[in-house]
Amino acid sequence: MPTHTTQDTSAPVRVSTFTQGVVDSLPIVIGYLPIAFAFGLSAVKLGFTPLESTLFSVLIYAGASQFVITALLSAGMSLWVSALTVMAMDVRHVLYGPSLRNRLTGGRLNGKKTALWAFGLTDEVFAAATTKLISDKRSWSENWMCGIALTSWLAWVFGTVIGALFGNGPLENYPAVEASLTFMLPALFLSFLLAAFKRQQCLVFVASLAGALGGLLFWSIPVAILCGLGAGCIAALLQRPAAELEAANEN
Amino acid sequence: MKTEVILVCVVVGIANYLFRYLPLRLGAGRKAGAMKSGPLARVLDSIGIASICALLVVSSTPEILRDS
Repeated sequence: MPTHTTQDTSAPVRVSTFTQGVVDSLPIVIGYLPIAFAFGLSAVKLGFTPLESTLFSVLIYAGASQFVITALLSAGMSLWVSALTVMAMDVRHVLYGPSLRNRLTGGRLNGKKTALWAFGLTDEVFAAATTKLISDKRSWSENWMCGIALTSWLAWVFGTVIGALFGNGPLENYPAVEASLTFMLPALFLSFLLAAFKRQQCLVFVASLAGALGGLLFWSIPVAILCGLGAGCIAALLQRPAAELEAANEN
Repeated sequence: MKTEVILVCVVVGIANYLFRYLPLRLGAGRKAGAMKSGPLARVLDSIGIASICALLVVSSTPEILRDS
């Protein structure tokens, strides 16, 4: 019995709206809130005011980098060394734009809207956009991207404000809830991986996992992300192109 | 609010924005999705899956190591 693995191109296109982007961002929001909360709490404990803590989230909007920069600044590190350290951590984001562009068909990027959603192109939003493009490329839209990016950013800022203002109190009496929240982000990435994974990408999958694990065990989290990305890219270069693999499977 | 906090937030915020926006903007002259084959296209295609895998590892492994 034949199986249909490709999308039916004659079917009417249902382009995702801004509202769908907001709805689709809910898993990211659930993942962001506890981490942003923890950041707000940590920043206040390090001596920053709630307003300063919120400013980090409003303008920098990059999870791990915010923890690092508040730690560096509170330890007395110079402003420019702290800024450069964090910029080095975030430079991986330059890879996300070309990767998304490569998956898009036609001239589907609008200058003004792209400038808006690009601000919110975090790791999680990029993963969600990639998953969307892999599963249903034609329904991807910039309005959808604006919805998912804006809601995720608002959740990040809101979580920080709550953490900075209310501290550790609300969750202290609910240890089970507190413990389960720490697994929200892994669950989010696992769901993205299950939705986006294709058999042809086995080598990239294994290499990225191994690279990230090695980077984490021997260096640090930012290095681990770069190691995972690097290993995945090298594996993509080494493996045979998808078309060749499909032809080989048919023979 | 301290001036140095505002300054560092603005500088890093602008840098982060440019890291995210410029690669999308600079390729605007070339039609999106035009590059469908070749080593560079394979690398760009793999970045999505590779980043999801890497983020899965860095978000889960510290918790697993702490609990073990």
